[in-house]
Amino acid sequence: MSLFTERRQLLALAATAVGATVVAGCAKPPVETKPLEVEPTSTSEATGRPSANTPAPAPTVAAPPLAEASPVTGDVPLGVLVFNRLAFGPRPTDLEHFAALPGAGPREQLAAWLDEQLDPTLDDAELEGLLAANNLTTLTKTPKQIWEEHVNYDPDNDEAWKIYAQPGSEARLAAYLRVVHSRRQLFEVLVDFWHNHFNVYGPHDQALPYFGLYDRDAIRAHTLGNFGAMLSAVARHPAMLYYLDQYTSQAPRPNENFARELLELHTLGAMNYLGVKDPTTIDGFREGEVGGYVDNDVYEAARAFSGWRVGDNTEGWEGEHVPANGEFYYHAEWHDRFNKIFLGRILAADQADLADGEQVLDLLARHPGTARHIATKLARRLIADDPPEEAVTAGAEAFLAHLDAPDQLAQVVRAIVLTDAFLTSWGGKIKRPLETAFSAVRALDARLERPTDDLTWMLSRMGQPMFEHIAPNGYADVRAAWSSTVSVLTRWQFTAMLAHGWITEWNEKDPDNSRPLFTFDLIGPSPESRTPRALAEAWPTRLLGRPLQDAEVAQDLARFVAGEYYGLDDPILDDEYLLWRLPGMINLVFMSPDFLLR
Amino acid sequence: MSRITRRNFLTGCSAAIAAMAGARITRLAFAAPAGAPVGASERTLVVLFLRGGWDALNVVVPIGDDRKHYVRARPSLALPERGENAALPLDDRFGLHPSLAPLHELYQDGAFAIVHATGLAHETRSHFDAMEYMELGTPGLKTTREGWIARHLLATGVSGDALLAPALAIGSAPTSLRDAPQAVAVENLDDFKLWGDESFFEEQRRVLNRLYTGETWAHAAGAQTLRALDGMSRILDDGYETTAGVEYPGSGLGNQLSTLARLIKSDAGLQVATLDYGGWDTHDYQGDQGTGQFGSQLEDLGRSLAAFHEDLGNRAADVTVMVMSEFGRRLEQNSSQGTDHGHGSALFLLGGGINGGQVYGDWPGLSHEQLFDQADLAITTDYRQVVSEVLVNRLGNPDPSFVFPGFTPGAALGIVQG
Repeated sequence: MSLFTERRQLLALAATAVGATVVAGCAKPPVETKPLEVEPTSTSEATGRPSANTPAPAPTVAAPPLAEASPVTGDVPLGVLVFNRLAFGPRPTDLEHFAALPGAGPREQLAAWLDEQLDPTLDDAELEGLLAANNLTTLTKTPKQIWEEHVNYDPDNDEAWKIYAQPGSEARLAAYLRVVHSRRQLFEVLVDFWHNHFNVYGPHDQALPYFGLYDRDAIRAHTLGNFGAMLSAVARHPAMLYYLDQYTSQAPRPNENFARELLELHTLGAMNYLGVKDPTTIDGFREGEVGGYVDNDVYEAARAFSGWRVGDNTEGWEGEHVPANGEFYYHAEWHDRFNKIFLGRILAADQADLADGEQVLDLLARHPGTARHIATKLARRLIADDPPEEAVTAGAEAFLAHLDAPDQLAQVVRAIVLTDAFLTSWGGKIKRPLETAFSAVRALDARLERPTDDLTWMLSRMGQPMFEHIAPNGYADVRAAWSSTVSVLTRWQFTAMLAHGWITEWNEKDPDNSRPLFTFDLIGPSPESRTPRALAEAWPTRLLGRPLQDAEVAQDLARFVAGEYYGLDDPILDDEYLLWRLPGMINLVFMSPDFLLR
Repeated sequence: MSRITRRNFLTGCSAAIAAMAGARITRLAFAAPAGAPVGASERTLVVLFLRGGWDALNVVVPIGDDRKHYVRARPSLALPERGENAALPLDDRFGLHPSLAPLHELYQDGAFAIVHATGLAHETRSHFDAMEYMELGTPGLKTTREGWIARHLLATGVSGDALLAPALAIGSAPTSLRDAPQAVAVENLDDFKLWGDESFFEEQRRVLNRLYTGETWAHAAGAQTLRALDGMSRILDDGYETTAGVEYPGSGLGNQLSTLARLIKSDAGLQVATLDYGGWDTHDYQGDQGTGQFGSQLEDLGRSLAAFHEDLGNRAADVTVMVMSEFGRRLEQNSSQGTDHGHGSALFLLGGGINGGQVYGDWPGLSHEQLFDQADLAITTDYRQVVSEVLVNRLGNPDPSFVFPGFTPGAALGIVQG
């Protein structure tokens, strides 16, 4: 007899569970709920059903001011560190796999894992099957198809806006599948990194139908590749040209938006911004080897890019030579032909088409300031909010040593990760909402067969919907940005919905039969593992890859599972009871400070 | 080809959510809890930050001697001298963008004041640097640990018995609140509770209390969340209604201000509250002659602020609203019918204790040699001067130089009553 509950039962249970809370997706009202009546912390006895197992109330929590709080210390197994930093959290099988990797010590084991992850031939058949099964047709379309079928959709079609949005929407759904199911986890983490580095707001009016191409051809194609090639692809991509207003920029008053963010965010970084200064007064100007940029460099770069636009002349207003094909287009009449002085170099007047802009990109891609900026950001993402100098130096050196290598960025990542700083860095990073959500999914070993935008809505509530950061700087990557009360609380709410199986594809006609997006098994096969005590021991380790730091909590969890109905060592053979209680206990683990850490 | 606008796309999702949030808020009740520790004399400073660098020259528009420079630099963007879109006169030098008509009325009533040619005393034209410098309160220095609001609270002391919290962010917590003691961030009040099976909540709370007894930053974040849950459960009650006749726009800002009014009227104990409003980075097609996207945003801003002021009723006297942005924009428009990053900006003050009906600050002029870097409106009033006056005169802060290290306030503008 199978002890695994069928999905139908799970659904029925979810639907009838007391006070089934908000199960909401886009554009539909939440189920009305009774106002919550939680007694303040300090009140002692439960007003509900007291039970023999009710623990004594804990003292009221007094929060130390954040500034005075101490760092998190303590070691975790290397696999836990690796899969929380270089992946979207471990699945239970990942930790077993990691522990079995060859290697005399942690560094060797980590190197073996990196080899595996950075190998482009790593088998990812399960993901490929899921992607195919979801029939995301725009993922493989050519730019020409996107232009003809989605940018220039049939205006008489009732679902015109869906067609226009489809490429962006499918890129997002594919990203969910990849993050949950891809074996190439480090790759997916880095894709997310570069999406934020070269941020484009997905729902942008004009960028939207190009967003799938941007994701595939500008970001994913170069994520483990060459930075200069990636920069060049980004700078010419319609999605970026629209998003940062480059597409209308023409002499003599070029739009500065793209040029400024190119220097400040994409390449040299604000760390190398020297402000409003006469460029000839900057050290190294005469040698053409300046250490940073001034506002004048922004203006000169804007001039260099004037005329870089999209061939989107659908109305035929601009004459036949401006094409209507949705591709990058260099509009010579809009270009500022006079000479420019950029980072101490002279770009001569009347250069060949595109040469001004290409030289600017090339100077930036090879600049030591860019190397350091990129290494700093990667080290912040992969190691610590304040990136350790050892890792930054290692990354910047690798960046410059492999400037023309086709795998330059993979080399940089390898150099940063294979430092002592990485190995000893547990506890400094907070999981952001995306990492919280997907690490919880993966910890449950859940499957996501058919993602929908109901998940997007849940991620939006936490403040980090994928591809939807509006400003060009991408989502923040430091603890201070993600530890507010609303940020913590919405994460607890997400994991509650997940654990209860209430993240669903909303079924408007029959809400009780909304399809859960994530499916997972809560009940293992062996009866001896079904006592409250055994469950409370096993689950935290399964979800965290280690026991909870506060060992006494295991006792609380056991009591929670037992309720007033079971002794702590009684096997619970009633599946329905377990399926009712376990989600509540699981969410306690997800709500623990241990699960917040990365 | 028919053009799909962002508005069409978002209609399906955000509008419904926004509408729903608004509807739910008005259905909920406010009941002052018995024995509330916070008296009516408590004052609240509301800091609304306009993200993206707003085009201050098209908000508080030169209509006097400098109009010729403005018109020459902005052939399509300049507001017309007369007619439907003409600026509403503030004095003989400036007019207010007509989409801000509700604030013009408050200006005439003396509840609304403007400081022009103000901003960050630093040359950066980077959004992110400028915002960080302003919100940390230390121009040129990013290593400052706390935000300026945090230091204000540390200087004045935080009342431990606030029903909810002394410092509150609606939405995400800005840098100005970084490391503020007992700061709380909320979004939709009715959603501010645990989710899941309600029959578990009491037991879960007990376990959470134990889990979050500890000293690390992770413990601090969770413990503060638990306190906020408790605070909110004391405030939320059925039957709250917005003051009769007040209509907020159904916008993000309108909803946020409506939420804030509810908390203030509930005596939540807020000493400072923050809100963000994005979308001011108008590099292209910002709207000719004051129309278009920029005009719509201003209309939302004006209507939302006026509704908030009215909704507060007799509490409006206790509440001072400050509206600022990281910089203004270039005098000269660009080839995209937009404006690029500039320097000097304008700052709004609204509500209790304001000597309104005036435009404050020395006007530096708009001729070529008068501009900052020959390009942008210069700054004659450091924003820290304005904030300091508000903190000292309205919130009893004895030491603005602690809030803004290295800054010594100059002669008072006289914009705030004692």
